[in-house]
Amino acid sequence: MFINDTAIEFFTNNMILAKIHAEQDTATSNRYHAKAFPTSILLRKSGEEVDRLVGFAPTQDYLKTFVDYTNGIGTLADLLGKAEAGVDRQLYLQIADKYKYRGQGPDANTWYTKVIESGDPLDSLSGEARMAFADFYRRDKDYAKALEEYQKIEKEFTTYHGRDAVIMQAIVYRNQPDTAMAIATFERYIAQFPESEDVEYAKSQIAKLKNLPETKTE
Amino acid sequence: MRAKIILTVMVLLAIAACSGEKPQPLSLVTSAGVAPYYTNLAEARQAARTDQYVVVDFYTDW
Repeated sequence: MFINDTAIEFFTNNMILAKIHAEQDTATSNRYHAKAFPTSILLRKSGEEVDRLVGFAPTQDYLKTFVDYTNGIGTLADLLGKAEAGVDRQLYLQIADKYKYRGQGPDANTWYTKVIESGDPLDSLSGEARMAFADFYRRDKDYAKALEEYQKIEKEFTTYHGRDAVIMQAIVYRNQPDTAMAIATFERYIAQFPESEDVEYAKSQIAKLKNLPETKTE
Repeated sequence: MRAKIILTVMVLLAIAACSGEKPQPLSLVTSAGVAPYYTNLAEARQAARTDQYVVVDFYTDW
């Protein structure tokens, strides 16, 4: 819901806004491969996608992103052009993410692989690429491959990616659903990373999975 | 009696058609303090001018 005055004026005078409940209008959400929420997509009147924004953003940034897209700034085509100038792993990651969110798996994998192969395979950017790779399988409900990837990341990365890979395994088990393994993995996460900010989330998930009322924390 | 009803309905439809008012799109949501939006993409695209863009925001209840 846009209640900001700038946004109201923008969507009254410049662009048309449509809000689609992805689970109710599955034909539209599937057509545009909207799998992460919120996802906002800039379309031409013909329905052709210009580009998209995934996740929350402050209203000003949100509107600027779409104005930039109409000017060809920050679009996939723009980033692909910039990538020709030389190695830029951060840029490769952005390109891969764009392909991922469009559901173009092979193209996403090509660019995630470039991130990993053009730098230290165990550094933070490679960790981001590996996690995104695994997330792709998870969103596509290929749980066996997602688990395999998260387990490899947990073993290979001592950074926060290794930690995050544990909680993601628990989420995959929950989604499968394999309740026993999900509970066990959330419990393992809490035991291994008691200082993590996701401990409360893990506890709430265990409570839900055990069908107990959520425990409130002070 | 039935003929009268049909005639009345036809007259009313003719009046509505001649009034020149475009029917409000069914999915357009407008309320004070909120940016106007459509809940149906086809209607949103139909409402757009040829050179006008549509932003479609996908959400869930999660």
